[in-house]
Amino acid sequence: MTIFPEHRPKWVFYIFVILSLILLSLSSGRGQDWNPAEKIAVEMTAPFQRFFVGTISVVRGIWRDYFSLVETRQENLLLKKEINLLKLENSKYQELLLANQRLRNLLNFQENTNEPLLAARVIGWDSSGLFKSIMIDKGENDGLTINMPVVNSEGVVGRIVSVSPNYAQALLITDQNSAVDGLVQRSRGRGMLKGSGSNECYLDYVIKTGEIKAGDTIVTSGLGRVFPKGLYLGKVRKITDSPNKLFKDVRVIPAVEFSKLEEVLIILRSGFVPLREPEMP
Amino acid sequence: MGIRVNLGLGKQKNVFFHALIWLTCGIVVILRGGITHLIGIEWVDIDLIPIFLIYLIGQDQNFRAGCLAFFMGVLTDIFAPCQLGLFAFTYSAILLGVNYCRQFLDFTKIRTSMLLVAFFVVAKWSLLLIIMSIFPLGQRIPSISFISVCISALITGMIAPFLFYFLDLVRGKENRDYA
Repeated sequence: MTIFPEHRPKWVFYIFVILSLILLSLSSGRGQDWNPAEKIAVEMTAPFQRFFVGTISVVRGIWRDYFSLVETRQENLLLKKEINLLKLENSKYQELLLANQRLRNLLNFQENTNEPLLAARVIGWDSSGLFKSIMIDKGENDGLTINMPVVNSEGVVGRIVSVSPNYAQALLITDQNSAVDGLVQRSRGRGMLKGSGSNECYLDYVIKTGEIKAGDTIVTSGLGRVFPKGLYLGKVRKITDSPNKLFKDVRVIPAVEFSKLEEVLIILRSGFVPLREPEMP
Repeated sequence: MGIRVNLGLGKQKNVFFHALIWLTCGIVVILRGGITHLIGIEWVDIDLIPIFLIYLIGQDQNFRAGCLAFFMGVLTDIFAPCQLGLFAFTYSAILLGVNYCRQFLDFTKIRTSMLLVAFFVVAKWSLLLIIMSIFPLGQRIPSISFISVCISALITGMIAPFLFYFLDLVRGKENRDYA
């Protein structure tokens, strides 16, 4: 007798289907955070991801740095970093300028600058092919909690959805389940930036009378209590104004180039945790 | 004319063989996202798990295939921001369907297995769409184009013979026709 006999009746499949249905129903409504068993699984398997991505990065780094234009590349990287920082700074200044023009004393912009940041390395991407998420090498032990904003020098990356002691999972703003309250920087028009599952986002709920044009910058509004105000979300690519629709159809190119995402910053602020629905007796 | 493989490996190699399958599948699930991201083919869904599952079903190893489908599904669920059990259910349910059809299929023919693998990929996406639409999971999946699914199924189906050949080599199987 063996533990896994080769010939078993077909009912074994029913057991697995029922088991997975039980899992599905138990986890529905629980949110996306990992349970203790999942955390253990992540802690055990994420190092492989880390090792793999690390190895690839090292190999790629060696290839780029030593086999092709050592100085040019490094200088280019420095300049790019500088440009990104200047862009971010510029965005903040523009934001401050516009705020000053309005009722400056009513707004509190200090939250944009006074919050601590934590750098993390991207160690993996979504393995299902269905969602847009990343795994990072920082977790509960580093002070991370659910819904903390994830950014980089270019703009908003996403938010933390699952945390284990040493690793965390962040949902990208391009995921179809992501929604960030946004603001047209120039006209202050409101909208909800939603992911499409591709490399583009939609700015939903932009009213017909709202002033918006292609090339406009979209920043976070600060509402929703997850993202600080004034962070770059992206630029408007295309606007369609159909007469039979209630809102304008606005397509946005995210500020962050997700295909080249290697490091991110986590804003260590306790994000808004939605109230859980009361459990039925 | 077909290629016949016989390395003369005995049944004692079974443990090694199945450990290898589980290890490979685990690595595939964990690293798949990273690999597709690095290659830049995120728009296509190349899932190797169905190939292993169809292979095991072809070997009449229902229990092992069921276990593999369930646990690799759970592992995928953990590494994806979705409800636990979504992929476990999808894999298990499709496997159940495939198993029902097995009496009409000849698994010794590589073309049949390739078609089944391709069908598995299409069925996976269809079932996920259905589950997301029917059950209130509070999540949505991207509106992947039919062409993307077809390309994914085609590529995965075409990878199947190579993987089957490799698995047969390791196992010392000699009754598959690779013509």
